[in-house]
Amino acid sequence: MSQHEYASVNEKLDWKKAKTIAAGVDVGAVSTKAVILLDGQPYAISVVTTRVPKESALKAINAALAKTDLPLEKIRYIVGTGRGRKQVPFAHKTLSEIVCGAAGAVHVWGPSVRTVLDAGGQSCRVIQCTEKGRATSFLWNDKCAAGIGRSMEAFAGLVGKDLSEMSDIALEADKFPKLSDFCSVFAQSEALDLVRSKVPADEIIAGYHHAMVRRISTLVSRLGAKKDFVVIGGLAKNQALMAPLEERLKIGRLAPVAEWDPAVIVALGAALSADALYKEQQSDA
Amino acid sequence: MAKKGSETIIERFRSITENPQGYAKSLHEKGKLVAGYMCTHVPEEILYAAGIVPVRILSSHVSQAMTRSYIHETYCSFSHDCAYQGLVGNYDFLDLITTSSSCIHMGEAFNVWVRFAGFEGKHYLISYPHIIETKPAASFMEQSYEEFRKFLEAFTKKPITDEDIEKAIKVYNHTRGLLKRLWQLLRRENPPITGTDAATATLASQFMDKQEFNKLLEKLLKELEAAQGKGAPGVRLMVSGGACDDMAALNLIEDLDQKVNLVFLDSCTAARYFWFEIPEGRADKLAAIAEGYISRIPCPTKDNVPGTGEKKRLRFVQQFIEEFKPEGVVFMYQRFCSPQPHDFMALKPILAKLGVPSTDLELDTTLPVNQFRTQLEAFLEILKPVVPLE
Repeated sequence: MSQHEYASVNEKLDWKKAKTIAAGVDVGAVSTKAVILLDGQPYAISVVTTRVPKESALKAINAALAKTDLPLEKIRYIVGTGRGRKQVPFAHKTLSEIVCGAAGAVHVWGPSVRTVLDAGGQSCRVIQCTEKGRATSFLWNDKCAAGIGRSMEAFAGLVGKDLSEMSDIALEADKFPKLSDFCSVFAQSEALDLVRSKVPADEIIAGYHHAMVRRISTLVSRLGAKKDFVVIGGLAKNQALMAPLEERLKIGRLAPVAEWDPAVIVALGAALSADALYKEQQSDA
Repeated sequence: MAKKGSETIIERFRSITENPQGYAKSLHEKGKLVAGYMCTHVPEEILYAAGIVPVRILSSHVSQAMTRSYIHETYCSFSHDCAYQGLVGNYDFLDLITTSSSCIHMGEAFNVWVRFAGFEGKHYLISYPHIIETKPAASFMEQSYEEFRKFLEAFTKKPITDEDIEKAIKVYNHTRGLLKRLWQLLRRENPPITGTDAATATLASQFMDKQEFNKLLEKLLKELEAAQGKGAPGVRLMVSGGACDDMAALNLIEDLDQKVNLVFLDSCTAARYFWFEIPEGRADKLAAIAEGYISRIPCPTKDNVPGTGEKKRLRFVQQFIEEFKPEGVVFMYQRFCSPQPHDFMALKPILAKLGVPSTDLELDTTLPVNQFRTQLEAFLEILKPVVPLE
């Protein structure tokens, strides 16, 4: 498994006793996540790197199942979501990452959540929702890469650092240069000039974090950040982004919930939707 | 949905929209005079009265960089695409190219054709008032049309009589009436034709000889008006925007996870093209044409009532929402087109008042299909939730 790949199982639960076994698979641009629920309780979770979407979906669900003796066919309902949602061959239904993100966030943080920022690898989305986790409106970066995880990954490569250490390095800087928040390609060209001018790497990295913050905060402000505000997606773990983002938006986000990796919240929302859809199917029958 | 005969006619319309230059060339080869026009403010009736078939120049949706040497990069992708068609010689055979002074971006596309695509000696720019909601606008248009008429008389070396113009007005009014009947079918709960097919027929009308088009559409309507829709009705969506000539975008709307009925298309390639009439039997034919064009659903570039700043188009959009009952509106606009998004800002409060949600799609030369699909599916999931969340 690569550095960010993992799988975990709640061994306190026994799938053989569960009435409803449901799963969500979120095929994102950078990673694919799977969440399996037993009667609505989290049972198994996995994160794998996305390669070929179809294969990654299978790899993610197999990784989640690996430490259990639960066979795939015993999962009653599976919802595929994310950029590669149409390529989850074993999914019963597909839903957009927008409705799944809202459902997952309200489940984790509670019914007070009204705005969800999903800062992911290929997209940055702002979603407003009801206390039941139903999305009511959204905005996202439909074309440009500025302000998304993939651009941070490219930037890490440019300055010769690992993606996982970017946040810590940025937090060490006392000052930072202003880089373009309009275009990630422009920002990287500007950064290259700074590297050649021997500007310390921590300052350049901090500068790029602040450029991303300006970009993301513009998107959030366009839709409006209503309380309570939460951040999900891989970038939610980057403290060098989150602190200035809250400051710029003048709104604090609810603290991360230790038991939940913010990267799997969309997959959780998909699993919750699968659970609800299966129950509806059963009651209709 | 529709039966075999209607499918054949729709297929004919589709083939013309996929290769309009091929159709136009076939007319030219039959000995007809063919003129390209770049904007729906061009009074096609006068061209038709002169014995010329007007063929609209629209996008080819080919990704290219050639036009960046001719047109500013921040002009809309539609104008770049139209200019491209001239530069690559797709319409070399045309006898004439015309446009009206309506939009700066399309004006530049026209200039490219005239200066760099071989149309220097066979072009005409029709003066058109910038603001049409003023008293002098009508007389300005009449004068401009009179100049156009004289130009065409010299061009064809034959007079254009009032009878010729009256006949052309009648043919065009008939087309507009038929297209209205076609779109009225989309008001049904379960329409017998998809919105994309109705849009395809409407687009074909902009390329075709109207008499040929009218015969085909009459036949199609005869069948459709007696037909029933198939399957369960879908979510009713309306599209509002600029030049929506990319059928792939409309196809995408009607090919989502949830069934969708595209019920109305407020754009200059659809309703704004035909949702008006020119008064028939008037003594002054050019004044009648001016009156008809002023009564159209205005293009955002021309839509501003002096003094009040009112936009006439908003009333039309409200009327269409009330009549066609869309459950959501998809705003589609060309990248770098400023007037359209300005209209949307004014339209959004009206939609909110009517309780109709909306989403925006910014069009470019080609479509970001996956991104648009996700956005549209999320929009539908919000409009019609499928998950019974407790």
